[in-house]
Amino acid sequence: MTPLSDLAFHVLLALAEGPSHGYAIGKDVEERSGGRLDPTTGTLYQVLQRLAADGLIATAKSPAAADERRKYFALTARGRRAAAAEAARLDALVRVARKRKLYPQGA
Amino acid sequence: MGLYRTLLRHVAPKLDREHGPAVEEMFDMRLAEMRTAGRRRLAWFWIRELVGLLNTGASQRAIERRLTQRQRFHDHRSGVPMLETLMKDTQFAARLMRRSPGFTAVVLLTLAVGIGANTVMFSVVNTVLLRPLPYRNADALTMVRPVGGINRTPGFAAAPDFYRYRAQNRSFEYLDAFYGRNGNLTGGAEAVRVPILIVSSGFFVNLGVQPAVGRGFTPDDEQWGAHQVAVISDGLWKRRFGQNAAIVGQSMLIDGQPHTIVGVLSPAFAFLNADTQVVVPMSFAPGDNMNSHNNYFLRMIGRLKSGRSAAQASADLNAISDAIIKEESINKGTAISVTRLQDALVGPVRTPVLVLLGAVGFVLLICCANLANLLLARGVARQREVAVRLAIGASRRRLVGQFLTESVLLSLIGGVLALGIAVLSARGVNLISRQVLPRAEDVHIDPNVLLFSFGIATITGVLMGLVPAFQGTRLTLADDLKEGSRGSSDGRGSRRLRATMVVAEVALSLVLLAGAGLMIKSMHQMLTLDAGFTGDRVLTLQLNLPAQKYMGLGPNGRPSPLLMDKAQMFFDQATARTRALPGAEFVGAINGIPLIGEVWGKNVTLLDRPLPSDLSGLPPIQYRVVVGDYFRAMGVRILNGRAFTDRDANDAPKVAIINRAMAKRDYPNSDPIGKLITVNPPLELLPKKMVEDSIRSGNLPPNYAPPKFEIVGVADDARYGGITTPAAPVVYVPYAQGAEGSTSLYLVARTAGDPLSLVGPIRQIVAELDRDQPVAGVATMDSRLATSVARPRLQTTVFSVFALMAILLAAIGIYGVMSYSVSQRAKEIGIRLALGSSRHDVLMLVFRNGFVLAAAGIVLGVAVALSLARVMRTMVFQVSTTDPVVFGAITLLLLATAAFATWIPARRAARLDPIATLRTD
Repeated sequence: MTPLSDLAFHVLLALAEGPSHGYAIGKDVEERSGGRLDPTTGTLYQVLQRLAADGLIATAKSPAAADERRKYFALTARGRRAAAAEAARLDALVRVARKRKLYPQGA
Repeated sequence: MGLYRTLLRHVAPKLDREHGPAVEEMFDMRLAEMRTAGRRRLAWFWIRELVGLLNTGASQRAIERRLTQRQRFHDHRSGVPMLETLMKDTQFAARLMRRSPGFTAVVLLTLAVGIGANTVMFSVVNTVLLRPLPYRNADALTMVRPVGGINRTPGFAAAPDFYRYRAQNRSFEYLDAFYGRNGNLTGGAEAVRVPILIVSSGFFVNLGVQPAVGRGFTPDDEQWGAHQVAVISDGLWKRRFGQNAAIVGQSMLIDGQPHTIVGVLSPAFAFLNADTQVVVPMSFAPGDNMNSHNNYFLRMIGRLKSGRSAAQASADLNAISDAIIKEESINKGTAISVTRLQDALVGPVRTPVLVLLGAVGFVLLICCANLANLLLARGVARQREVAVRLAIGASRRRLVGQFLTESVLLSLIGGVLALGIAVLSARGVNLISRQVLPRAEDVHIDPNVLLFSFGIATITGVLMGLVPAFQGTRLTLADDLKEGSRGSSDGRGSRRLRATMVVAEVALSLVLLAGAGLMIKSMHQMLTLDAGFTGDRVLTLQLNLPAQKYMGLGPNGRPSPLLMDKAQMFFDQATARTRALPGAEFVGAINGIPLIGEVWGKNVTLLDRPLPSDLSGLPPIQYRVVVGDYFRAMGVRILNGRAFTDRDANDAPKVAIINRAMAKRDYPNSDPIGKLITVNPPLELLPKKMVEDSIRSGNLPPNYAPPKFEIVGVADDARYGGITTPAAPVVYVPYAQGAEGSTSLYLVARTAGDPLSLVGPIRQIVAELDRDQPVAGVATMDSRLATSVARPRLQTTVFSVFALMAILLAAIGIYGVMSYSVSQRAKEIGIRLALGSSRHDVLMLVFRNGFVLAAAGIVLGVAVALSLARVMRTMVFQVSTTDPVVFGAITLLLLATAAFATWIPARRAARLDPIATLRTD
């Protein structure tokens, strides 16, 4: 499987705590990346579409009160595993960086 | 369905099918959030979202293509980034340009002229209409004026009303009044007359302008007695005071009164269109008639409080104005208008400037059409190259990209050359008078203009290259690799495209010619209309006498409008002595000459009928006081009765002359000669309090009754208000009988020879009468006439230049297309000739082809011109925008041009040697 792009990983992170919809995911990504990632509507939805096609997320039931057009997405089990794998990959890299004195311990 | 969703459906249909409504919902939420963030962020949001859409669409298509696994060699799939491809294309394009220098030169020249003209026009639009005025936060500044009557004609405010507006308004951070007059600077260097701006104390703070040296005004400067201070312009400081560093505190005499200089303005200061040299604070002595409802002469500038709109300010002031109307029974029918200052300043030229921008845009489109035709022709010549490249697997898209890069590159180089033209032209524009084009001196190339230039150069490149690029790469492989097929792909499609271009060009040039024709006819109307006077060989100059010196002092110790003997003697002597000069035929003087505007409005009381119920029922007139032989000097005919003579003096019975407009309005069915009128309202109609105050302060003698004037003549209508302003009713009165405090007259002298030859002798006469009295405003009526039509003349000239460029380009376009067509069809023509067609037949064949194109263009152009005609309505004078004479003339002109342009290739076709053509491939 191709490695997760930065944006895709952020989306999975945003969905980790429960189902969410496009607008909220976008806001979450922007906040968590400190403004570095600010995807437009089209870009974000394309990522959602691809993640759904790859089976990492799935459409979930909307709570009753919201706009009827709104689609909610949730992590699948496969998605959780993929996010974990990506985190592990990043973690391993960070450890190497630490060992090679490129990145301070406990920062 | 919203815009975003519609675009999504087009650009990324698969995403739309799967998630359309959800995407739309997310976009709506983001849009709602951005709407509260301000206009700039909202704009950026839209741009980002739309670009994001395009990206999404592109990558969707890339994914789809990958999924369908088509086996073709696309070099865009090689993973080479776009920038590298672009650079390679540019290199190739540059090499191509070098190899055909003639072609490149023609293209670059056409581009440079077309883009250059557009850049200059845009820089004018940018400076005059878009750039904010040079004041702090200029958007908050407004022009505040009373307006009256059905047309809401802008008028002037009275001083007591201004003070009340200033004190009681709640919408303005600052509200200040201003008016201008000319004053004599004497003492020290020679006497010179300068424009003076008189302002209330907050003026400089209001505008946000700091004097470069010293200070502005404070509220104390408005107190009578402390008011004799002045701020001078940088120019005056340099010219008259030698840029003396110790200028603050120096004194200068304005109209004989000493003023202390307290500040110097920066060189960049400009206010409205005037060339202000001196600014003094507005101040009135107690009881001064100027500070009353007898005189309306102020305009106001208001800086809106933040959060307030002009409409709110207008309502606020109208409430105060209504209170004044109610309490003092005056100013009936007046409302207060508050308009953005920039609009007030450039309003009159907004339409013409935008129309000219449109016109020059048309010229650029015609350039594009010509260039597209050129490129189409060259595309045919490159067919073999294109065929080979397609055969080895280049994608059509890449080739189109290559062609477009070439045309955009050409266009950008042309754009750089255009900038050179534009910079030079901008200098030319700077020389245009400010009265004709507000802010003309400020026009220059700035980043906005550069961006515009770059933008239209790119768009031009794409426009002119698009059709040739697609056409040039549309091929079936087999045909064109064949040996000996030279341009066989000049098929119907290509020919039709070129024909369409020509039709479009002809249509566009007809539209421009129509505009130019209408404006030329309009100029003609303006210059030949009967303005009511004869201006040739008439000299005018202004004599403005200081009131303190030439008016007697009344009981209150101030100049009285009833004691005008000294002034009268001056003017009588000046006219008499000028009359005695050799070369002077008739000499007179008047307070306001034709074309300079309506200077003195009054209300007339017609004594042959019952009085109206109040002041607003008195008919308005323009008032003119006359010395000497004014009517014959200015060439204003007396239609009925007589002119004034020397016997109409102070103690003689008072007489008046009215003009035809007044006779028509007020005496339609009777003979005005012999009827009585007064030019000041009868006391019964004035508010009692005002009359009592005036008598008490000495402005009116007790038992005053306005003098009665007998009408002794009717004069022809002269256009006092301006060349395009129809004559208003006028009452003329001899100066000796009705001067009423006017000390400013225009001397008018009709001469046998060159009017300017009298200037020197007249200056001497004036100097003999009063050494300190300067002569101002020297001009012949002819030059005044020229100035009054200067703006329409400039517009007409510029428009005509564009129209000329258009017709030339169209002619070149027709010639080019027909010429090319003939050379392409040489073989066919050869066959016809060989089979027995006469040369005449061939000539007519070609000629007819060209003519049909031109005729189609003309018909299309006429239709477009007629529908666009409305736009020009405010720019033409006494001409219908669908004038058949104009349209007829330009149609003939275009037909003739097209005929000429087609004739030459047609003759060449007729001269072809059939054997030679059949022999070639």
